[in-house]
Amino acid sequence: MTASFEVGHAFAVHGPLEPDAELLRRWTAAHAAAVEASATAAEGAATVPGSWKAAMLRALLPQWLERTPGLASFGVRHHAVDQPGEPLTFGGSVREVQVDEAGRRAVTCDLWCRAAGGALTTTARVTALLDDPAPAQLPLDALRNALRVGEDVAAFTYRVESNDVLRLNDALGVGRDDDTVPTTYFALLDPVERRDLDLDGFLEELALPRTGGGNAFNEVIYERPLQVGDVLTVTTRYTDVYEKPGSRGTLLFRVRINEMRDDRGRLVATSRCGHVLGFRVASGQGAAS
Amino acid sequence: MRVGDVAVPHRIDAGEVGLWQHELVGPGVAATLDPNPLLLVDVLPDPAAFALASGLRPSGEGARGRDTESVWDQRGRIDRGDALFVVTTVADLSDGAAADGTASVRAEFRNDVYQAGTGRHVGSATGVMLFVSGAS
Repeated sequence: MTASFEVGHAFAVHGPLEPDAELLRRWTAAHAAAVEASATAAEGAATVPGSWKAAMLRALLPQWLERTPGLASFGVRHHAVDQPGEPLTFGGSVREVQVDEAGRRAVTCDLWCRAAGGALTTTARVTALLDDPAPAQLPLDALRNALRVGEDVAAFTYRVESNDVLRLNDALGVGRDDDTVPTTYFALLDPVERRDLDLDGFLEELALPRTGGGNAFNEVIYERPLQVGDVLTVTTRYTDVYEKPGSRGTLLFRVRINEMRDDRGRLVATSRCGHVLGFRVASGQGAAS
Repeated sequence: MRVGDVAVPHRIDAGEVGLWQHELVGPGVAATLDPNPLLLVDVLPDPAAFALASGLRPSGEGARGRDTESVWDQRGRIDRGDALFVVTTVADLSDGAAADGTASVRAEFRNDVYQAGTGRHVGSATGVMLFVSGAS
């Protein structure tokens, strides 16, 4: 990994390639399979699909950048149609190099596809993040800080709606017309599951292979059953963050408590929920890839 | 088809789409491709075609489309095997004319991609097509 990306650096030209009609038919058919429909396949491969040229440019990035690029913006413009069997070449150059606050390099490149006569038929601009090494361990301290473990981090107010109760009872097989609020409804009063509260979203961006995730446990202690029309304020507090080895890599647990009070401030229920994410950390990474 | 029309969301598997793409760009190039992370362009290599296949099509009889532009804006990590949801909308429509004076419609489709498990938005893929009535 010794490439230096100076502005103006030109990538090795790839090609010429002469994509034949059969290859391009398979390309369009594969698109159709991917989207479970036949619209693109029906249009055949009378010309070289722009998507194939874009995919070629994208596929050449690891060669040109000498590593697998991270998050990227990628814009492609098609200026002219190419015919199957005609030679195409692919190339590009570095337009800009920037370093972000995390020390990662963002390299912007201008890429192109040329037809036999030299005409540019497709151009692209890509900005790829480099130098995003996988951490050797999970960022537990950063996560604890983000979740402000031990503090009340947010309060949201929800109303127990008849329509929600009916739908939940229907799903539970209780009966479509029964508006008795089931105990399961407490699980719906969780700001995290409702996506109202997201303090650990950065975990999604960790440069570590994910091996799974989901709810680990849910428990509730309630003072009284819920009723349709109850207006509850739910206060969330994270109580614990820990990791432990599992069969699917290192498991990261975040445990939170939701305290639910009615509109007079009386405690109605307290729920405790655990969520787990699995990561392939350190020595396990080789196996994952 | 009108601006704001939304197709039925599709669920796609990032693993499946990556495999066929790597095969079809040729073995020499495919050999240099790591399995992870995937770029959004790997998952939705043709944003406009995806929108068409999702049912968003102009109403004119015989209208044929030509892919003119695609933009992928990635906001989150995607790994092989991730289950994703794609919500496709008609972002813009405008009338125009082809070089020979034939009426045309420029359609911009936007595909917003979400992780199925977390609901997290991982990016958008926008495709622009030019439809010309009766063009072959």
